[in-house]
Amino acid sequence: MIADVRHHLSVAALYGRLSMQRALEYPFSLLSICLGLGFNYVWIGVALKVLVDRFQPLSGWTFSQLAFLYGLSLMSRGVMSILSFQSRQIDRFVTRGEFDLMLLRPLEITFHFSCNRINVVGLVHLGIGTGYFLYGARLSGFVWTPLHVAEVLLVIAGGTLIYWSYLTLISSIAFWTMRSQPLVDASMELMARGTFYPLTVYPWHLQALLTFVLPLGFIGFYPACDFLGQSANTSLPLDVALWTPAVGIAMLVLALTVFAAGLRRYESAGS
Amino acid sequence: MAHIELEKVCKTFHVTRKQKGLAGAVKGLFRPDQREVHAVRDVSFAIEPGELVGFIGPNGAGKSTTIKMLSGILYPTSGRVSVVGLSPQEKRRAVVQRIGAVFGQRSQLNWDLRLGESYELFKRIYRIADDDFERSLSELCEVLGIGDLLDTPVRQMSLGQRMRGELAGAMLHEPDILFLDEPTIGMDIEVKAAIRAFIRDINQRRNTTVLLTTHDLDDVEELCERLIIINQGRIIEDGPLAALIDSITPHRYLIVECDPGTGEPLAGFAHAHAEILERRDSVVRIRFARSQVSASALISELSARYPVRDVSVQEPDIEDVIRTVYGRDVES
Repeated sequence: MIADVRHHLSVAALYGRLSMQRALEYPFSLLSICLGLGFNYVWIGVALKVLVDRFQPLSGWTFSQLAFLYGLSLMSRGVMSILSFQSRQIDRFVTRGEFDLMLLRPLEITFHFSCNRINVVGLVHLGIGTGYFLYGARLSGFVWTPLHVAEVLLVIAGGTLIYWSYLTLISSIAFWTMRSQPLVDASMELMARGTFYPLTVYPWHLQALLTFVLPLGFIGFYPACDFLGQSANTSLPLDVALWTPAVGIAMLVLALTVFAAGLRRYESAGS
Repeated sequence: MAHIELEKVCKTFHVTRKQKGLAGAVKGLFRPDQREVHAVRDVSFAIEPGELVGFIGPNGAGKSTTIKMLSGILYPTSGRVSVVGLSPQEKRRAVVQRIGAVFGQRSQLNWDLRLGESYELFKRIYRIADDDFERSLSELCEVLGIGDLLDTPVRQMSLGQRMRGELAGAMLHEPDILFLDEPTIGMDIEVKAAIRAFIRDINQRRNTTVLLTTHDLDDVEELCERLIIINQGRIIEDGPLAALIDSITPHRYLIVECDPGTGEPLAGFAHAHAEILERRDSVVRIRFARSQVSASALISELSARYPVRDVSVQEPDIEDVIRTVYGRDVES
């Protein structure tokens, strides 16, 4: 079992190296995507700062607190983006029969599917997210204790699982419908918006939706409330740093179950 | 124990029949015309270790579907599939560790990277020990002549070079079984010859079981002792190629050239198992029943009685044989 896990991780590491090499084969394309993304994220931050500083804090959240929340969400999104390039495109794999070659390898299929292509651009999300988080943490009084660092890492891991599982669940619909890309694109938008602002800016039914149905609140909002002492309207027993990975694992189990059920329906493509 | 076994295997796909035009597309949204397509029907056969078997049939006959079920890619609707004694669906990882596959239309090489880097990846995926990898790779490079290509990006390789690269990739982990789906498709004569030599070599030297799907009957003729023919999802022939040819065309042809100026060639020829089909100048075409009289006996008999200058034996065209088999199946 341990040897098997090590083997899978070593394959993933090699895929990572090869993905880097492949991305560097087209440096102009890589540079344009990175610059475009970077500009977009900085612009979002500047616009938010102008909005909050000129008018009023957003539902009681200052710009530095918002940067902390945004950075925390963006770091999970970055890790997810590095690992989920394929998950967003299950419909292409289904309609073009591209699972064939993956099923021919003696590896656990979901793991192989995810690590088969590491998205180098995800490092931009991760880097900018880390920047926002460090900026927000410095200005909003976040205390850097070993326990807090461990909690932040747990939240990032849990948030990544929530993002990845949510995308995989939505994308897996393609096993039944052949197409899921429009829904995946809409979900990416929802994930970006649903994790950007504090949930308290939304009416109560939207807050409930983003807590119990699409638990995006656990990626950034609830942990940020906990770390910064902000009110969340919903009180949760136990530490939020434990809730986020727990929700992530529950969603992962659901996503893996649906993916496996879908894969049994996989019919390849004509040759 | 047979390496490959299929027992009453069926595979049914559910397909939606599309209707013509915009109105058809709208109608299809509300009342989709769903149909069952029986891609494979009651297929049974067994292949022993070290056999090199040709698996042929017209397009859409069920060849690829069968190979995909053998590789654990598809689940059969019913029946039993066994590869190296295991179910490819239940023990997929254990089974695929022992098989190699080349799908002529789908590359397993990394398009943007050096050929050698794809092999490094396969080494890691199949857990090939360093020594075994070096030995296997150098053997394959020698047989397939790809040693100089290891540092070439795959996208810069020709179709023939890529196919040789694919074959090496499929054999690096020294699998017991190799599935080849159209490995010579689109290749020139030289590359085809190299690929055939490679297939023969790994079959004889490594005792690799090979199941070869092809539309190129020269592949079958040159490589396969046994032939399995599938049509409309059913196995319609399974046996040695020679026996199949005999059963379809029991006759052979003898082209006899007589000395010119010696009157009508083979005048008065009569034989219980041979007949003259046509005379053209001094050349005569004779059809004979191969199971009743051998070509050498007939030639000796003719040479003793007539002024024969030259003789050649004409084998039946394998394409005609296969066409007859397909046609016979459609009629029945």
